[in-house]
Formats: sequence, C-alpha cells, structure tokens
Amino acid sequence: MRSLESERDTLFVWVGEKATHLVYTLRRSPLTILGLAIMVGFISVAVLAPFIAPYDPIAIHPSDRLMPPSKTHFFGTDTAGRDVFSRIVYGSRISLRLGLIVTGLSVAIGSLIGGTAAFLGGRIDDAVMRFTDLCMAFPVFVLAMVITASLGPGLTNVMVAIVAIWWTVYARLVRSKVVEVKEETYVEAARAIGASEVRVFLKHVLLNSYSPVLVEVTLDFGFVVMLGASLGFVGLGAQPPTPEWGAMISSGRSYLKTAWWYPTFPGLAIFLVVLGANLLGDGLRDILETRTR
Amino acid sequence: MIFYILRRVFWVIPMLLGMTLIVFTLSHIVPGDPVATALGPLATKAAVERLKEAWRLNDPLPIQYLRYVKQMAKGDLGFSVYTRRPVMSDIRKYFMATFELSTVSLLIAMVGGIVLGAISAARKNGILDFMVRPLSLFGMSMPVFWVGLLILLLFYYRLGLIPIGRRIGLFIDPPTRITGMYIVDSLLTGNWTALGSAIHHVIGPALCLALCPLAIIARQTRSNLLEVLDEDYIGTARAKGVSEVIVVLKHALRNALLPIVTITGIQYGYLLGSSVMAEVIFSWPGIGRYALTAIRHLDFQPVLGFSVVMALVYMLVNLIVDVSYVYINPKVRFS
Repeated sequence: MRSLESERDTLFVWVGEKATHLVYTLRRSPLTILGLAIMVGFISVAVLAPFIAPYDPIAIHPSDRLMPPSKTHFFGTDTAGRDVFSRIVYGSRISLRLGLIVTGLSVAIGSLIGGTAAFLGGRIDDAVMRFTDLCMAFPVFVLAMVITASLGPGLTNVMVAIVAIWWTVYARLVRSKVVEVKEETYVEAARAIGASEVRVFLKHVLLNSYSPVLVEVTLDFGFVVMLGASLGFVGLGAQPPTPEWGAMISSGRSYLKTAWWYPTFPGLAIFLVVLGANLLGDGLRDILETRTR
Repeated sequence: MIFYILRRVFWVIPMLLGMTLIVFTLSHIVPGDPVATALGPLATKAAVERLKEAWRLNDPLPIQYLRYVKQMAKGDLGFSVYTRRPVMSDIRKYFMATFELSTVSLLIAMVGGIVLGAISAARKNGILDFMVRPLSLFGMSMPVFWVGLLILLLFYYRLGLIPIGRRIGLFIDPPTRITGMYIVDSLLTGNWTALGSAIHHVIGPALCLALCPLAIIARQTRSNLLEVLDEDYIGTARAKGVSEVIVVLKHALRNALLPIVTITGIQYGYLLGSSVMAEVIFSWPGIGRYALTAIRHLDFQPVLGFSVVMALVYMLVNLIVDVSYVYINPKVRFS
C-alpha cells in the first residue's frame, strides 16, 4: 500500500506540472495575459472602489456640472456635478456582480436541468430540449427586454430576466456532454459497486462534463455584462442615481455634443471588461483544446 | 429533402404558439394596470371597472390567451392604448424600417467580414492579418450603443457627414411603396434621387449595427479558410500550377464559406435585437423604438406584438438559412 505522503507528493508533482504547463502556454500568448490583466484589474477596482474613487459617486455638486476632464476630475463631471471617474469605479461593482451572479446561477440551473434531462432521457429530456428550443427562437435582447419590462425596471429584474434565458445555453451544453459521458465504462463501474443513482449522476457524470462549460462561462461573462448594460441603456436596468454604466451612457447621450466625456468613458469601461473576458476566454479555449488534443 | 423542409416549415407553428404563450403570460404579470394607465390618474374606479369589462380583462387568463391566438391568426394583434391605433397597423408602419436597417447591416457585415477574413487568411501573418485579429476582437467587444454614440459624435456632430432622425431627405418624396423598404422600392421604380438619399440615411445606423457581426464573420472566415487551405486538394491545385488568387477564391473560399452560412441566422437575431438600440440613438423610425415607447407607457399589446413579429422574422430567417444550407452543401444535397 502506498503511504499517504507519497500520494501527497504525486499530487504536488501533478499540480506543479499543470501549473508549469499553464505558465508556459500563457507566456506564449500575450493576448491571454492582457485579458487576464484586464479582468484582474477590474476586479481589484471593484473590490477597492472606496479607496480608488476620489469622490462620492452619488453626491450632487451643482456648481461643478459638465466640467471637462481635468486633473481634479479625470473623466469630467456629469449634469449633477458628479465625478464621472468615481461613478465608473463604483459602477464596476454593479456590472461585475451582475456578470458573476448571472453566469453563476445560469451554470448552476442549466447544468442541473440539462444534466438531469440527459441522465434520465426519454420524455423529460424531450420536454426540456423543446423548451430550450423555444427560448432560442427569440433574439436574446428582445426576450430579455420583454421579460424585464414585464417584471418592471430594476437591476434585480434584469438579472432574473437574463438568467431566465441564459440557463438554456448551459442546459444544452451540459446535456450534450452528459449524453456522451453517461455511456462511459467508469459510470457503469460505479453503478456496479452499488453507488446510488444520485451519487453516480453528481459525482461521476456531472463533474466529468465540465470542461466545455469553463470556456463558455468566460466568454459569456463579457456578453452578459454587455447585455446588462444594454438593458440599462434602454432604461430598464438600474435606475438613477445608481452609477450603472449603461444607464450613465443613456443619460449622457443628450449631452454628447457639448460634453462628449459624459457618455464616452462609461462605454470605454464596458468595452474593456468585455474585451478582457473575450481575450481570456479565447486563450482558455486554446489552452484547454491543445491539452485535449 | 422535401420532407426535411416541410418538417421545418411545420415546426414553425408550435414554436409560434409556445412563444406567444411565454410572452402572453409575461405581459400579464406586469405590475402596472394598463386600464388605469389608459384612463389617466383622474379616472374613477367605476370607469376603470367598466373599461376592464369592455376589454374583457376579467376573463380567466387561458380564455384571454385563446382569444389572443384566435385574433392573431386573423392578423389582429390588439390595440395600442398609447398610439390609439391597432397594433398591426403600427407595426406595418414601423417594421419595414427595421427590416431595411438590419438587412443592410447584414449585407455590410457579410461582405466586409468575408473580404477582410479572406485577405487576412490568404496573407497569413501579413500586416493586414496582424491588424485584423485584434481589430475583430475589438469589434466584438464594443457595445452597440457606444459605437452608435461614437459614430454620432464623429460623423454627425463633428463632420456633419450623416443625417439622423429620418429614413429619407426632408424634401425628397419617398419612392412608391412596393415592399416598404426605401432602398428596394427606389431601385424598383428607378428613382435614383430617393435611392441616394435612402442609402445616405441608413448608412450611419447600419455601420453601427454591422460592426460586431462583421468582426465575428471576419474571424470565422479567417479560421475556416486557414483550415481549408491546409487540405490536400489545395496542394493539388497549387501543384497543377493554378494561380494563388484562383486557388483562394475558387477552391478554398467556396468551401470555407459553408459554415459562415449557418452563423448568418444567429447574427441576424443579434441584429434584430440590437436594432432597438441603434434606432434609439439614430432616431430611426423603426419597430424597436415603437416597442420601447410602449414599454415606457405600460402599453403591453404593442410589446406583445413586437416580440411575436421579431421572433417570427427570426424563425423565418433561420428557416431560410437552414434550407439554403441543405441546398448549397453538396454533402447533404446528394445524400
């Protein structure tokens, strides 16, 4: 029998090898590093917002309205004299949280429903798949807009609406993978030694169906942030004076001619987050795919 | 193949029913009371009740739904409280503007994307390829409404090159209505002044919408083409002494474009959705802006009609894409 220590050593070697491989691939792909840096940067900004933002994001200073970018206001001020830079810094909390919650919930709900459907098969599988077909028959933004409008404008309802659509993506993804995995020999082996169906499903089938989900989540994160901001832009998301990026652009739109900085900088922030997620997701896909090849 | 097409066409009906069910249920959990909104804040309770009875809003939901479907089959999508017109006539008025906008965008995206992607792959690691790769990632990451504002800032406010707020010049008569799309109608009637003006008016919002799908198509074309250029038959063609231009255009590109056809349908869905934002920014008189106004006034019949029409168009476009894919793909056609 192998001692516990030697087993731990093998684990360390395994982790070490993986890490070396990851660092090696990352070093050869500067764009992935850029994506990672952008994401880490925005997450730090969101976490450290109170220390980074020089002003209160909501307090009104009528005498400072629509000031162009300067040393005191990096990105200028808006119509209420609020510092656009501080609002963008605080806005990162809203957008990143939206992205995290929505992708997290969608993955959880989607993989549970999609996985169960594939595992059980038959009528349930058919019903779930037809329902996902139905959700995909709408252009995403149109459906998100109609659901949010029905629930009433607001950030929580935006999240509910996007999750209500987005879980279908993962349901399909996980389903297709589970259909493959559940025929594997090790699943049969687990059953043979008397593991319960629930255990077989959760531990052996679902856990082994996860690699494509990881890449999809990273790429989707950017898209979800963009979708949230789009709903904010059409006035269905966070309501003023919340410093949400899409809503900021929407209210800054009328001042485009005289105060270009007001709608431009929040847009730049959305662009950077989405770009970061896309770069990172692309890189992850390359890394994971070369490993499986 | 006929069987496949028939089955696809038939499938549209249950999908449409399911879809209206979803949207109908959603629109009835709306917190605002449409009747109270329609009558204004001074209405008496009795008046609200009377109108509710007249609009048969007190019936159980399933009955209301069946009635809605029955009316929809006759082409009646209800009545807009805000515009005080039937939804169908409103949609007829605004829809073609949206359809024209999204179709022009799709054309720009496809032509631009395929050309850029093809050049980028044919001259792999050249200057253009070096620029196309990051640029396409940039294009994919830019929010439509932000691109729209940048275009507006540069081409409308600073350079004064594009007009906004209209589909055709103020002093130019719209072409005789045949399809409702100004560009197509002016082409059909040979009205060149109208054609020029219509193109001039659509170009700003169309470019704004086209950017993201263009980037995606360029990326896809590039990677498909690179894959195909590795195939043996390309080597054979080159060995026979066929010129590089013909190898790329005739032998490789035709095969590389097949997967592009399938993503066109998805891109069209993106365009339909995003057109709402482009319409708001460029004051384009389309159906998205109409729906948004309706949402702001808690006027739900138009919103319901809007989503039904959008989904129907999206489904039809995807149907056409799938059927044409079967038709152009020899592997499927001859099997």
